[in-house]
Amino acid sequence: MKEKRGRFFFDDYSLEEVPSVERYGLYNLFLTLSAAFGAIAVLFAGGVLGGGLNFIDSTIAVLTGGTTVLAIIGALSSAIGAYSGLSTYVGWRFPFGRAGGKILGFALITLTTGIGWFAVESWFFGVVMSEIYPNNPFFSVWAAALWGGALMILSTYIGYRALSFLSYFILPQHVWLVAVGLLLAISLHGGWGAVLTAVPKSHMTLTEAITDTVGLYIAGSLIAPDITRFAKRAKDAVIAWVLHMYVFYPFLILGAVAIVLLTGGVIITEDMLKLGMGVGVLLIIVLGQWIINTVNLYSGSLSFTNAVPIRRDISSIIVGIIGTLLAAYWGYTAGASLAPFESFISLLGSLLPAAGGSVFAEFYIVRRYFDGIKDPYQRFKLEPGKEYSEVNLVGILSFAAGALAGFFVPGIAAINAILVAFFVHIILAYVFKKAHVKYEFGKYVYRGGVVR
Amino acid sequence: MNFFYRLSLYFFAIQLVFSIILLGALPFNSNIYAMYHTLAISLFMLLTAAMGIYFSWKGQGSRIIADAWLVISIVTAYIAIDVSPFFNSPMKPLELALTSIVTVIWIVDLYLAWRMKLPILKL
Repeated sequence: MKEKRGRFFFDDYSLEEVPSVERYGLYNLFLTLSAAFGAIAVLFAGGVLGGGLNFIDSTIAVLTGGTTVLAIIGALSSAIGAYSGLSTYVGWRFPFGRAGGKILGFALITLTTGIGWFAVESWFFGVVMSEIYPNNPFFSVWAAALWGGALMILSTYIGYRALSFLSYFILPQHVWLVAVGLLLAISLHGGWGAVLTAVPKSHMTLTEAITDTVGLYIAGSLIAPDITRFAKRAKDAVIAWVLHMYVFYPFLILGAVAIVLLTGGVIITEDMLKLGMGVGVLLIIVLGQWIINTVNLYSGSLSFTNAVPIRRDISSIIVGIIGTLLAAYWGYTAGASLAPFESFISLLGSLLPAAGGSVFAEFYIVRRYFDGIKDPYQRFKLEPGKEYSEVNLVGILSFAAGALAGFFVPGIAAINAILVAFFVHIILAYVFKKAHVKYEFGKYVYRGGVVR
Repeated sequence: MNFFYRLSLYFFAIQLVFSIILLGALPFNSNIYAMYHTLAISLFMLLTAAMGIYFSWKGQGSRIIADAWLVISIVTAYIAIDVSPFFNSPMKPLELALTSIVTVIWIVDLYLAWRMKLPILKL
């Protein structure tokens, strides 16, 4: 196995801080974040939005819910990744303890993003392929899910280098293809006036639309450290995130809304095919889903490695095979049902944000003001030979409170969960510290990040 | 000026000439969609060629590589859309040939950069 500087080449510093020589600049981060979390998922979300809202309401929903809220949340978590250089789940060892971080990482990311989302996207890949090439066994839902999943596992095995490569190639291409699709739709269906007056096929409230746009991207916002740990500076990570939320995300989602409103379909790729974009649509589907699923599996493999001590490249194969088989099974039994996709959005929308709230509270408030660690580079720093706790009760309790709020408090579930977990974490930490009650249990000695 | 910068300079000069040829071919397009699409790609190629010539002249390796990635990505998207019936036009064979050559020269340029141990993925 190829090694570099004493580490396995494809492990991507899964359990340790990314060294400064292995970090990337603003341009790389902007492209990687945009391509990794945006791309085709945003296009499909735009399709759903355009099916229920007119263009003005969609713009309001995207610019308030989608862009502003997600820009703030993503910027906060991106900065944590760049400062610590740790993956999201290794960073979770601080607010939840090592055992807490392992369990939550496995439950919220390996099972949902790594296996669930990966399977849903692979299945979706199969669905779209079978629609483009009906009656071809190689492009049947289950068969396309199988070979598509294998392709995605391969790039995830390589890691961040493959993500960078795919991003450089895919992102500008997506922008160009969507821009052409949008201009074609406008030219052929009555101009900008028709976009503004077009009536959607069904009805969706503004709150539902904001919940959907936030829910779609919230997981990406909270696991952004998986990418931004490779940032040279925290400033680069934050600028890259905010820039992609304000430039790339609205362009793609509103472009898709306009195309769907004008052409009358809900599945954006079908509409682009109707416009005569041919191979261009195929490029969007194949490359877009390839990169987004590479990120899903990449995060899944990082969280799996955090939970089970095996190399990240090996865990990407294990998690990927499970997800691909699941996708093929759905394709074989359920056909073209969208139900699994929607149920996954609901689940993530209420559980993962709670963890994010606790992480923000620990990094920005507890470590900074209660523990007096002013230097952000030191707040989530793992030093070999030093002792850390196995369980952080405050983190676990605040996560539980946030998750319950996400389920039961009316409004935008993801935001409720983040805010409740954030404040409960701060209050509990303050009370426990004031009362001199111990809330961190168990000890382990961090021995560096080498897993062989 | 080292070999990579000089080679990139030549490649960008070729791209510049091609973009001017495409601009010259605009009036021969048979429909308005094809014409606008050609206008967009030729302006994009013109701009990135001008930027690339400046970067090559100044010896800014990572910016040359970023420019090359951008050109490859956009030009392949252009070629992919060109098969659509919406873009049928008598000038398309010429445009496809020029854009295909541009794609190939930048793949070669990136390959050479990689062989010369330049970080083509670390922008």
